[in-house]
Amino acid sequence: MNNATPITTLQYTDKADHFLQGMKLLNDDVSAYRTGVGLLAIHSAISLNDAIIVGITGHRGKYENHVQAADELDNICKLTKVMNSKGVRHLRWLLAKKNRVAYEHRRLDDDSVQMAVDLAKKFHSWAYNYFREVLRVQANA
Amino acid sequence: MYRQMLSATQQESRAKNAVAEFLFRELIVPKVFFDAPWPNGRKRVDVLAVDRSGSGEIHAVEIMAGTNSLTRIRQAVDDLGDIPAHFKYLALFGNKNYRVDSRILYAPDGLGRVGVIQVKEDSAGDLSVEFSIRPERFGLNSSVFEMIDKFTAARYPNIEIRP
Repeated sequence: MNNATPITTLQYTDKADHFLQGMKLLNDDVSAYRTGVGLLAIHSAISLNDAIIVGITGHRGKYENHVQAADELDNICKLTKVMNSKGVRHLRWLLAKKNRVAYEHRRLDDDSVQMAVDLAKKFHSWAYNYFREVLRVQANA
Repeated sequence: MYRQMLSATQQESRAKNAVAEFLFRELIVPKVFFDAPWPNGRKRVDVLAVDRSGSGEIHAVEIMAGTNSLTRIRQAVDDLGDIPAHFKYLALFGNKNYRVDSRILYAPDGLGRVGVIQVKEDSAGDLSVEFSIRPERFGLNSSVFEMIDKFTAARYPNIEIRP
């Protein structure tokens, strides 16, 4: 699994790192930063997904909605014979919460915030386990 | 009162746990190994963390509990020099107010500095961990990733985020 665009991949993994570390930091005081925690969790997964997609295809997809990003990841898993699809499920769950977190008036409940944090970390773990050659540009930089 | 009855080994293990949790938080999604036979069985690394679920940078920690012996601390830093890791740390626990001579922390070629972590215990017996000297990245050949891939494939980590 070679990386088609290592520099762009690195730029996306950097963004994913920043979102994830910000999420962890704010999660220490979740009552004060609830919405921020949720949004950072979701964006950390979106950026890491972009890193995978751009690393494999050479370009980032343009989506009508983010759910299509999960579909593209699913297709990439099939193409690259990654049989474990847990990461796609984690990403779908996070993307499904994006509108509610970012745009709607309803607040995210405590369980959902914690689930978003857990799934964002799990998505990172999955991505680095199954797309390690593509994402390893970070460690080699 | 019970803490004073803990053996040196127990104290060192407490420090390992605290340092592992500290790295687990600092890094992205690391796999953490205690007493890791890295890079081979001749040497055990007290705490080894491989970031990005085992695909990223390698962090090696040597724990020094309850000693102010300059010779032992210098030896620990020397031992770290032989370990292939992008980031190396000396973690001090119960070393009173010992301050490491920072000159011994640098790689001979200047590419890399051993970080110093302080593990402190409060009156309730809770441990806290912080950097007193931040590490600087050591230069490594990318062939180290083949070694670390074999290492992580052959054993379960003590701490990890499961996918």
